[in-house]
Amino acid sequence: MFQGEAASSQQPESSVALPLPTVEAGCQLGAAWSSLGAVVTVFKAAAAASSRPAVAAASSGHLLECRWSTEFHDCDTLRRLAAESHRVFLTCQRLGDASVGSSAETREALLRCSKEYRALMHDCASELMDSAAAATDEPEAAAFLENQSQLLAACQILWHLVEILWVAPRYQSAAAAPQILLELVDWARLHCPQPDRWIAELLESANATDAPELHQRFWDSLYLLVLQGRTVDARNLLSQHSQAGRQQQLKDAMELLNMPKYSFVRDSQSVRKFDVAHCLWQKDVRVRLEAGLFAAHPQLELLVELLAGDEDAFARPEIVGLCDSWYQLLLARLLLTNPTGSLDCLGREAPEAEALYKRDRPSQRDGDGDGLLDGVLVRLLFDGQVGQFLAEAAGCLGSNWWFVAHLADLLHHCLGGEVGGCSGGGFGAIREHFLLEYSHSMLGRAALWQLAVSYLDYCSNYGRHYQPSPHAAAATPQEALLVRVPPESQRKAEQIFAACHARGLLDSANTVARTVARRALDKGCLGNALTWAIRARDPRLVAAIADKFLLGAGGDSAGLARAASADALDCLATSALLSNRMAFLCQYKLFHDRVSAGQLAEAADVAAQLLSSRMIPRRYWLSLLQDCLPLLELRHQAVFTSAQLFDLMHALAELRQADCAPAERLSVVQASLSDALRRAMIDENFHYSSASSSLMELMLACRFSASANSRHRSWLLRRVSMATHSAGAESSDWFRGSAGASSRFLTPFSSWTRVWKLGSTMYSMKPATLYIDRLELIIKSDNPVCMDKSKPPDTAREPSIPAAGGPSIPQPSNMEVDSAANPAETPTPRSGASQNDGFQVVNRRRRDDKTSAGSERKRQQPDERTDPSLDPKRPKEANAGTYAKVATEPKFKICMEASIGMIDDFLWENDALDIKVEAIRNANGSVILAFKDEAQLELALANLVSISWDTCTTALPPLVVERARPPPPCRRYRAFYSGSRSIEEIRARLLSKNPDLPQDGIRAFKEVPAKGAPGKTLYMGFSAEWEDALKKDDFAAYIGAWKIVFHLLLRRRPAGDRR
Amino acid sequence: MASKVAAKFVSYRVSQVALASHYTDKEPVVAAGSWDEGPSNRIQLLGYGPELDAEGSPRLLAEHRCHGDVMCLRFDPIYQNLFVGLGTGELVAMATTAEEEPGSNNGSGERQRPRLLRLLGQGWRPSTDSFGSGAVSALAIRDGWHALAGWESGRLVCCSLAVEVPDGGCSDAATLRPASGCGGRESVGLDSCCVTGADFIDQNAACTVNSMGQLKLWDLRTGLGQYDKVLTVAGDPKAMHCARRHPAQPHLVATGASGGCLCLWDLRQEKFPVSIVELDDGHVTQVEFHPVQGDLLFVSTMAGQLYAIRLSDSGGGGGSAALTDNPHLTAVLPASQKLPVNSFCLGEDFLCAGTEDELLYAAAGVCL
Repeated sequence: MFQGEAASSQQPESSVALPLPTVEAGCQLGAAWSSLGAVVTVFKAAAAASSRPAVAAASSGHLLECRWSTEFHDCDTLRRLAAESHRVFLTCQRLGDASVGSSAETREALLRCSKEYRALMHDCASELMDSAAAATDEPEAAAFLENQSQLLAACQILWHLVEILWVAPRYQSAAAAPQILLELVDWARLHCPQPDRWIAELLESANATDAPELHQRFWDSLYLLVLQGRTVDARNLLSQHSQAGRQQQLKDAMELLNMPKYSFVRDSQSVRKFDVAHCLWQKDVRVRLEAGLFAAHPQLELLVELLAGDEDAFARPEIVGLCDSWYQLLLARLLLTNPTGSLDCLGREAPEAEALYKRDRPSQRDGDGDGLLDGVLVRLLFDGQVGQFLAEAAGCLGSNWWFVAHLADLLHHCLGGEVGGCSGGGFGAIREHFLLEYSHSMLGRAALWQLAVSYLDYCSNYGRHYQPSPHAAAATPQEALLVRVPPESQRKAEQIFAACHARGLLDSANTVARTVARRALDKGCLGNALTWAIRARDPRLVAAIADKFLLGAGGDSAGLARAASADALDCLATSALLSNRMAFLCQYKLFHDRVSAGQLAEAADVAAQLLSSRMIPRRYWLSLLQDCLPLLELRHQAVFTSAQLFDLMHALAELRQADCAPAERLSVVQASLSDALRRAMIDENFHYSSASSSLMELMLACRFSASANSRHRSWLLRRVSMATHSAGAESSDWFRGSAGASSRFLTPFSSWTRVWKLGSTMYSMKPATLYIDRLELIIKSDNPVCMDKSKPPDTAREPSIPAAGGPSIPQPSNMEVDSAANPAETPTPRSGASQNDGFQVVNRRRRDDKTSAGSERKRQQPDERTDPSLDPKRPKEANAGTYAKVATEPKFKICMEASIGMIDDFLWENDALDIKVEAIRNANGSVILAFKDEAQLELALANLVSISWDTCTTALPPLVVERARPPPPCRRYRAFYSGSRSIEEIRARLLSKNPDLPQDGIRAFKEVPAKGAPGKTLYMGFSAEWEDALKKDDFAAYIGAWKIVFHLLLRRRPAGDRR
Repeated sequence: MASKVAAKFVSYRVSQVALASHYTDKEPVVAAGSWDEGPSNRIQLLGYGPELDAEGSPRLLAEHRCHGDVMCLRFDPIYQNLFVGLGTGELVAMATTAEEEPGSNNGSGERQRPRLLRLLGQGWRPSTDSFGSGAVSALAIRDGWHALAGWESGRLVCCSLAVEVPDGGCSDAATLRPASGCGGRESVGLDSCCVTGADFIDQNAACTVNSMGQLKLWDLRTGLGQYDKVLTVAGDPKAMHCARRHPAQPHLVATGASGGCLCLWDLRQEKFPVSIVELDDGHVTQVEFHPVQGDLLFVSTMAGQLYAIRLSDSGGGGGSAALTDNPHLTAVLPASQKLPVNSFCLGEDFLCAGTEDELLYAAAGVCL
């Protein structure tokens, strides 16, 4: 690759020949812009035109990089100018912020800034000249340097003029006019060093000859000194005349050269005094001139004529010829003819002086010369058109925006908005335009982006964001610039990111972070990608990175552990919440960390949470379960609690259901799980009455153990039996079972969706299909039943329930009436009673029983058992509310509480069934499934596998399984359990050991007070006869409950189920 | 703070500076590296006069052009070789003293003043893997020959400079290579993300910081295969950018992080920093303890500040220092500095700082 420096700064529009060596006529060329601008890459396109230069270049072998505005690229001196002037620029902005052109101090400070700019230009110009002189072996470079040096010198001259006219704080003062004129004369002298050179030559030659006046430049030097107002120098030079001491004329001339000098005092009197002195002096000059004192000496006479302010003398060709420029002539004339005139004279008399000057130089036209100092610009300044001046200067300087940008900025701070010669938008607009252009011109080199951005800080209109504007057409606002700076390294990316943040460009900052993250991701640096994706706050990118981590894992346990071993995941904190996947990875890592740290219980908690939250992709469930195996198999320690183990079982059951994992691996996990569960239960001294869910979970465990370990299963069944028995004996009515009734578990365990909580954000599962966690069966009756109040107590007192297929009304004969027997101890459920309170009471009492009255109570209970709700002795008022709600013609509906989203589809176990169901959304947000008829409800319940759920939003959990509505007063819930044969068998064995136990199987009712603990409301076993019973009108009345909660999940029959 | 501050525009964005040695404060020699200049990137050796004489303008002693950005620059304190980490991922060593003694001490105890830049053999970079290692992002030097370098990809290498002087006496055969002499079994390690700072704690231990905000300790005897300990700041990760250990209390490490966060760590503690102070909005770009006055900490930031901070005694015994909640910040550089201070180096009485706006500051009398 080679680089072409194209398009000189002086002629931006001119065409440039590109040296493409392999290009022949007719071949295709392509071009691509660089990301920052001011660079175009030209290449020879391949036959099949490709839009990618790299591809095309491969075919041609050459890329040509064309840059322009390259002043600052390769020249160290100009780089220094850019960097150093930036600091002065910043100082100006600080001053400008304080006040615009108001206080004198600010103005003085701005004047100092202006002088700093000039000093800088002067310094750089001379350094460039030195470099040019040193670069003798590179003529092109030397020419460039010299050119730049001259340009800078010319700029400095103009700047100086602007400074005198516009920046100096005394501009407003009338007394300042003579002083300004003097300074202007000085300005002209500074930039016209000719007489000094001549004098030096003179003095050198004077050593050789005794008469310097004979030197051709003697008189020219004298005239020029006078024109420049340096009368003292002129007198000194004249004193070198060989006849100076002898000729009276010379003595007189030397005396006349004592011209009064104005010195600026803030006093209008000083001008008048000076005016008088000057008039007197000039009068003296004229008198002596008119007296013909110098007639014999024409050269001396011309000198005195100049001092006298003689117009003709100024028009003499030898005088005009001495001047380098018309304004030098103008200033000299003003100095000697009207030194106290106002500055308006400058503009007024300029054309005359210009005409005079050009009279002797017919070849010189406007626009000739070096472009800056040919007079047009100076003339504009003299005319007071500073805005126009800037515009013209910008035109002359081409792509060099440095000068106009800084000068316009300085003037903006000095003068404020209103300045002559500005068209449209005021001075601020033109300043901003120049600043934008200058900033843009720096982008050809990536190294200058910081400066470019810094300048844009002060372009209030177009510097930050894109705005449609004719001025800003070529400019790149910060928001676009910063995202284009190539973040080649992390450190540079940090800087760009910080620059965006410092300016409040958060979108740009995010874009930069995203770019860096993507690059790192492409390179496979996942840690870096993650840090930047987090900074970009980009959930999709974080998810993509998490996927990459997981992709590397490959789905097996070892791979997953490997993925999570990246310690980059350690300190994500809340950033992990950006993506579910990442949250999973972090939790998974936490699990491993805790295991390796020996915090096994904590690890178990994490694992159980992970599995119950459903946050992890299902393909990793088995991996996680397998990772738990070492913890499950710890013999000496129960790491998992039974609740956690149920979560694990639940996940395992789902895996089985989905049939997405090898059965043998599942079996291994299952065996360990059931074993661990047994140990956990022993450890926990499993209390059935204290946790209403435990019985059902026990049953689940039974189910699991059925296929795993017969010994274990029998152990569990024994526990179940004990549980039911003790519940029946100790607590209030708990279970109701039918001895010998074949049963199956419809909803064997509770699986409340656990809302995964990290920080304060709630996350839900994304997949659209969810298993229903809770389904409520609401038996409603539109017309209240004409209740036979005596019937429920009667049925309640029935000693036993017939076997399966027996009477249509189930008879919970062995209902406990504990609360009735001990009204003081067990509160009767009342309106508004807290379910939690109820539990607490039960628990407390159970503990009491253990210690003292347990055995006695056990003996009493069978006789005293009654359902309190059905107790005829109860006041009618207590039951009235309940009974009033019982309908005569029940209409069966399934109501899913407070579900969110739309129900998509139902999955029935038997596809052939034609179940017509309609999902109706209630006003309170719950969804009711309405079945066509009652038979269908039964069918549906028996066959329902899953309901697909369309969750529209991820911000809320898909299923709110906590209580959505407060229960109505006096509502009572019932739980049912129908035992299995196996349980019976065990019961039989138990009974043989303990004849006090009830003889009629597992029958228990528990009346759970309303307002239950979330997730622990009720659990239900479902027996065949109850299915029948559901159809009966009086069933609801009989049980005194009209709301039953199902937990549907598994439809697989237990091994012992033969139906 | 400083008795005299001189500034010099160097016409390149100074990415790194390094002081040749602590013992040459009277006439300090500074190496400065540039970035973002493409093929014009350079390393310059600049000599300051005694007491920053004249205008405080340094003399250019030597210049070396390099293709990549200069990301890390460190002198080894004994032999005064200059170790350079480049944006291309290459690690380079350069001799700065006269031809006859690349690394040999001439016995008089008087070391030569660096005055040249000569490449010592070829540069070294980690063996090519599936992705580039990225730029060298951290570098620490120990006892003359050993360098601990970190790359953006997280690669961490302990290198040694082996000089193989053939019979002819030409010493250009010096090479950098992963060090067996580093003491460890594995001289190559991998961090999870960009290693942004590194320092040796003692002969057998080193610490690194990374862009995830972790401070890691490495036991060099067991190698770089696995870190020894990891310390973090609680809460969301804040990228760390630099780390430096205390000159006299090696268990004390100062790190600078994003958001102007300055942390002081006691490595004997288990997990969290001893003190955290937020200086200003800019990221901390570098931290250095004063080589003699260990309770003086210098911090540079991306907001263009260079502060001197006096540490207080933690009071907990063990001679540990700590930062007060609102430490008194003494600005070293003039207030006009607005663009980031990329790097600085510190001698007993001399400080040199390189900035993003192409300035090289030199300050004399930094001792409080």
